[in-house]
Amino acid sequence: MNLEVKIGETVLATPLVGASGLFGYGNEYEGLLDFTSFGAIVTKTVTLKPRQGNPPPRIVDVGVGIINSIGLENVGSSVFLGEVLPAVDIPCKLFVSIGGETPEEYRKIAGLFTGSGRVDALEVNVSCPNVARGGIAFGSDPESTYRVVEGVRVETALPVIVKIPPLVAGLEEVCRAACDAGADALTIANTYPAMAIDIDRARPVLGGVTGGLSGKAVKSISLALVWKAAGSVSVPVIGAGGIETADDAIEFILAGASAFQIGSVVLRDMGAPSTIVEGLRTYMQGKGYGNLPDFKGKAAGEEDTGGEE
Amino acid sequence: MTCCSIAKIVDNEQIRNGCYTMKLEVPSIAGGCTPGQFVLLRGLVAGWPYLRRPFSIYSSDGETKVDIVYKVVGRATSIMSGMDAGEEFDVVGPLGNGFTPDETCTHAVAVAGGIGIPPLAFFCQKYVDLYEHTTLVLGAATREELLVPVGLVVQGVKMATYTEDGSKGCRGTALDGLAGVIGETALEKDAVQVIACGPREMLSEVAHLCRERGVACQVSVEEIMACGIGACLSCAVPASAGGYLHACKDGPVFDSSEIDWERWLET
Repeated sequence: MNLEVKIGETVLATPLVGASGLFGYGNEYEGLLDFTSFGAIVTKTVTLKPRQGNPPPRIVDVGVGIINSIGLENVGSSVFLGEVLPAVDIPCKLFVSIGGETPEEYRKIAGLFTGSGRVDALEVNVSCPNVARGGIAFGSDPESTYRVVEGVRVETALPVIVKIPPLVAGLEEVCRAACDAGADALTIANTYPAMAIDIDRARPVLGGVTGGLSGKAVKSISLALVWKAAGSVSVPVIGAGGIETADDAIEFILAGASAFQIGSVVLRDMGAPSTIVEGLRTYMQGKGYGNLPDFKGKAAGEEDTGGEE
Repeated sequence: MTCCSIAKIVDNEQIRNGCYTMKLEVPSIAGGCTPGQFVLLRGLVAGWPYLRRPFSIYSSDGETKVDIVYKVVGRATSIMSGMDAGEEFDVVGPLGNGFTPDETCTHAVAVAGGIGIPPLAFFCQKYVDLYEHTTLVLGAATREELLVPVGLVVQGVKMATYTEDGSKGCRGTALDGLAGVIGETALEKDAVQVIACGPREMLSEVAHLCRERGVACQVSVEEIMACGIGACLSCAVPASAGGYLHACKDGPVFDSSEIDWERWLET
């Protein structure tokens, strides 16, 4: 049985990818996670200059998932390239998430990874606030998505994956803009804007006030977005959002995803990566599938007639 | 070494209203943990929230069992209070950096506010022989709030109890207790090592007092956390050098001068 997936020219041993933010820069879970189950992990978003991140509390458990407001804390590109990257030692591919405040910053940081050796792909985090446009995420409209991805594409020969935020009007247009600008794959989606309030203190729980919801609460919403995105572009779609079991992952593949990301689930179950990959194999064996493309998108051919209710 | 395993409840006993000690069988942690380190627990029972919860290690037999002390404050601890011997947790640990005993000091003063006692009790148990004098200052609002876990009496450790209403021990706070100990002994400041755990406001005052007196102070802090290993960067603690430290990886024990207390109290 073959679980390989191709993203650009990079071949992943399995379709399971560790989502940006949960796995640090790569080495943090050494000895705790079975990295052989992973096709790749995505680093925390790296920006040109170091970022301090948001004031605490940065995370809140809402039972059906978590809301985080880390604020892109990271060591910055020069420490990452000089100290962190050379020490990364995991038996799977390494994708670096990149972010910036202007298209120019994205372009610059993308250029820094050309020829860095260890990096297998860049995941462009277009959920970063666009400073020139009052902090709206670049990924919230097709034009600014295009501008960011176009610059990155010019600077790098590495596969370029664009991570699309979830609640954007005209998701298909944003996806197509990313592809027109040269994206090799899309990650659908990021965390969902959310908040929690401390009713005793009558104030928001998070230091950053709002944050991003992840975990099982968002799975069904992400699944519909993946189904929609996969139907509108020809590049591989990496499904992300609330995947906790093999059945969840299989749903995403049937909806049209070529690969999938897991994140929050490892905060409660470090055995999840191996369980998911094992369950995927069992499913494929039972159905007589030898490769992922044998069933990718098998449930995606139907026309959407349901509307929103 | 940190690992992820299963911890089985040996005993779960209420020590006073809303506070419990729990003995866990978990050889992978009991063998190699030090005072100040913690574990992350997720109950393998219905209704547990999403994340694991952090608990300081209160004691360890060094081989198979560790104890924790907890107070029921939310859903996870409420579920824990109803768990029985034989039930299990998914556990990660031991985690974080513990206290660093300073053998050049003759006096150790451990200052515990409220539920802050567990890591300090572990410190006293393990390091009492390193010092000529070890004092454990316990502070609480009332006699009922005072937490003296069963079996805490450690040979050679002097206990000083303070309640704000005077219903047990001396009237005052743990901070008054600390001031008294530091003051009364007329010690060289280099001879004293203070360690503390408790509410953030109390730790800030302890840090301030120690800085004024020029006494070294280590604090064990609490912040909401998720991964426990420095990967997600959730448990940010404002650093005096600017930016943030992370309670799970850089702490939970810090030299009190590393923390920007003013900024942290604002959050």
